[in-house]
Amino acid sequence: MVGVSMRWVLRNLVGVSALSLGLAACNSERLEELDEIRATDYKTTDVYANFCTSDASAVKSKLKFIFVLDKSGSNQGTATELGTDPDGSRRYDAIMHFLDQSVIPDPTISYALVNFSTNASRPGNDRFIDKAAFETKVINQKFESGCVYADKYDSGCPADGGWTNYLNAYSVVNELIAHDIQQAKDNLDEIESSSYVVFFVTDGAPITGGTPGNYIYQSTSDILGAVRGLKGLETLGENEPYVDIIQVHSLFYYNQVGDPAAETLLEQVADEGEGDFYSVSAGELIDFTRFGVPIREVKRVLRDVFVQNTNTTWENGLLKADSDGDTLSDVTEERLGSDPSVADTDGNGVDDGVEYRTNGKPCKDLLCRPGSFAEPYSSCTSFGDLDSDRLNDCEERVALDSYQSRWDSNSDWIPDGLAFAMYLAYSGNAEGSLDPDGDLVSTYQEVKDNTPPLFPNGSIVGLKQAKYFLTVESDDRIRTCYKLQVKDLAMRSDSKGNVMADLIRIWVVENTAVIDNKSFLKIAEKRVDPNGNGAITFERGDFQ
Amino acid sequence: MPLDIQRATIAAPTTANLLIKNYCPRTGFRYLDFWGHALSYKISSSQILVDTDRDGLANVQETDPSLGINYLRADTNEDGYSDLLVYLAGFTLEAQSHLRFCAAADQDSDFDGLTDCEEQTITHTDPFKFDTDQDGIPDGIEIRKSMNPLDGADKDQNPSGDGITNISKVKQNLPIYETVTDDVKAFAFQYAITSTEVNGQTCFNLRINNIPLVEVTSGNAVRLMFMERQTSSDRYALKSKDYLIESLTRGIDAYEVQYEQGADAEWSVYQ
Repeated sequence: MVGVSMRWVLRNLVGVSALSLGLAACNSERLEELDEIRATDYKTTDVYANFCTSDASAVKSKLKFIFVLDKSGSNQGTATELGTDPDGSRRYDAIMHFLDQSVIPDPTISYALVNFSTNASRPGNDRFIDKAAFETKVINQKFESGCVYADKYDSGCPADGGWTNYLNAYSVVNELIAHDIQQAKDNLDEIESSSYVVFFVTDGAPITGGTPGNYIYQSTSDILGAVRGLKGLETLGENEPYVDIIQVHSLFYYNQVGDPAAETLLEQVADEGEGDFYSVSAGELIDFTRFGVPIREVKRVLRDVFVQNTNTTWENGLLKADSDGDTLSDVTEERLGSDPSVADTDGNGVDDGVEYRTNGKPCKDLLCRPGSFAEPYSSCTSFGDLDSDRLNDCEERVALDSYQSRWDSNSDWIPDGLAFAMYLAYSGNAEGSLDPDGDLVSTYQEVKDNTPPLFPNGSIVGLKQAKYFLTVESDDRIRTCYKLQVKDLAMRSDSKGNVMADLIRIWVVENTAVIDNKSFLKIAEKRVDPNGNGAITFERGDFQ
Repeated sequence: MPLDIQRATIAAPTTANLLIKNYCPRTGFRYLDFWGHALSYKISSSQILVDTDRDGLANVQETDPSLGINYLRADTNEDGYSDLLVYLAGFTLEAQSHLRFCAAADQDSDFDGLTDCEEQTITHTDPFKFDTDQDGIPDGIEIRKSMNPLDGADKDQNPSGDGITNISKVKQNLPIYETVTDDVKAFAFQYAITSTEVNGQTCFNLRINNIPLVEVTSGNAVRLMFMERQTSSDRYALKSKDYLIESLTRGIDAYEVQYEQGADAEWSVYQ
């Protein structure tokens, strides 16, 4: 030890006690420094990974159609004016033709019906039902007044009457969608998202009373505001992971003479709703297949890939062993009293590292004795990891105030668990392009290189940066496949200088190509084989 | 095999220099940025791949019969949705038939390289803003590079880990999702911008050096982007102009073209 500065005593990471180095005579202060290592001396591994973007068809989100049908009196007509659809064939046959398009039942598609005239409601109080049940409902609506029929396309007898209150209709649609989103949010096992497609079908302007020549109209701004409210459900609160898109289409059907004012309004409705508008005269059939619907089989594009060694952690510019991967180094845990080989020493559902960073200590109990589960996080209701970002729901919701349903709470494209491990902001403002340690390497780049974002690289002698080699193996309509090599990823080593069974984690971030801004995370984890040559290979099947 | 289908290896092509002389910002605007986008080829897997119809897909990518795209037309079925979008989204012919009908197939109100139909129906970018996420890269270019036109954060990212940010690769015409090796770097666009005085106004001579030239029947083309900013406000402006390199004047060491002010209507301006 002579001639070597106290701070940089050479010692292998983990597993070697002070005694074996003959340091029994040193005081405790010296012992603490011993797990720090010169960067030139730590071991590295090479990581090889083959992976592809997830297949376009692999994850189909749900598709929910909502037919909003005009049931006002003008459908039946008056003594002087022909009804626009007295036997229901225009409205109901069109729906049945639309249903007939998909011969093979698709369990990811469901349907709802909203009737509106003076008031609006969901007939039978049903919400979203499957194709067979929906067709039965449609047939029952068409023949509602009890007329006899042999075939579903026979002349019907729907019960129509009343005014044309658009706002009541939108209000019922809003409740229907909001309720459905809430149901998805209540599912704590997985995140299922849906696209909602609304077909707003009417034969008249939004008239709610009055006499001919003196009608009472609902205002355009109110109506467009209601549609905006529907669209707004996409991003309201924490809805985003559960809603792909809400589309509102509009359709105006008439006999001989159209209604330019109503048609203009309905065009604006479709514009607000990111949908299409069609108007259909007596000679033409209503055709719901003309409307552009969200295409759910969309190719994925690679956005980024990060390789992490979960068994090393940076503390103050020093790379240290972290046997239990809880982001607290083994020596720090020995000092704090938590167990360096157990991520959640007191078994309360929140890892030591998360507790330490938020409460200043890894356990509520000073000696880290197992206490009651969830203390001091008794408001936690779930300890799963809904968004699979390696921070569990309790840690995210209660301790860290990030989103349990979003793996990138602050939209900086660094998954929350990775940001947490690198001591970055995982919620609030994105920090990727900042450079707090002033070493001219952005935080984002330091995450990729596995260098400390909060300690200047220039001050670390012999710092090794992880080097990425990414190439495209193949590219077609369904997927793109890549080959990734990461050289010089830092590892722990034992007293003999051999690598250990470090758990390597690869985070792959994908985007849907062009069609929308949805992002996806998939992770592969594997342990290095200490008896192998130190390299580790991931195959396509390793990625969940 | 037809001439245009052949891949050129990275070692083969000659390069050219391009000089835009006397570019003067418009009155009330100042120069913000300038760069070029290669239209006639793409670099992928250390190869230079020819793109005859300049749609952003290499000829060899436009072979899947289920997509109905081919390498001779940018929008093979002329429905207003380009082959590039069809390929990127994986739309089969059947899926394409369900796309919203596009009445004005050529209209690109913000001159960003994506038609209004494409922006409204497929990419959901703003058809009246040429750079929806305001990251300095016009929407059409982001789509061509498989970046995200709705999120500006990707400009500083570097998925391939070679230390060159995405925006830097866009300007150099290097592939984003591949680690750029030295032999690929050799074909990066290089820029040299010098200022000059014209009638008391600060103007610029804009050079792009080292542009790879490929053997392509439609000729080598480059899309030049001029970006300006209004001096009195926050309004940004883009002029996007395609040049066929071989048709320009051949100077001593560069193809040359005198910059023409043109009409204000050639500029897309937004706040």
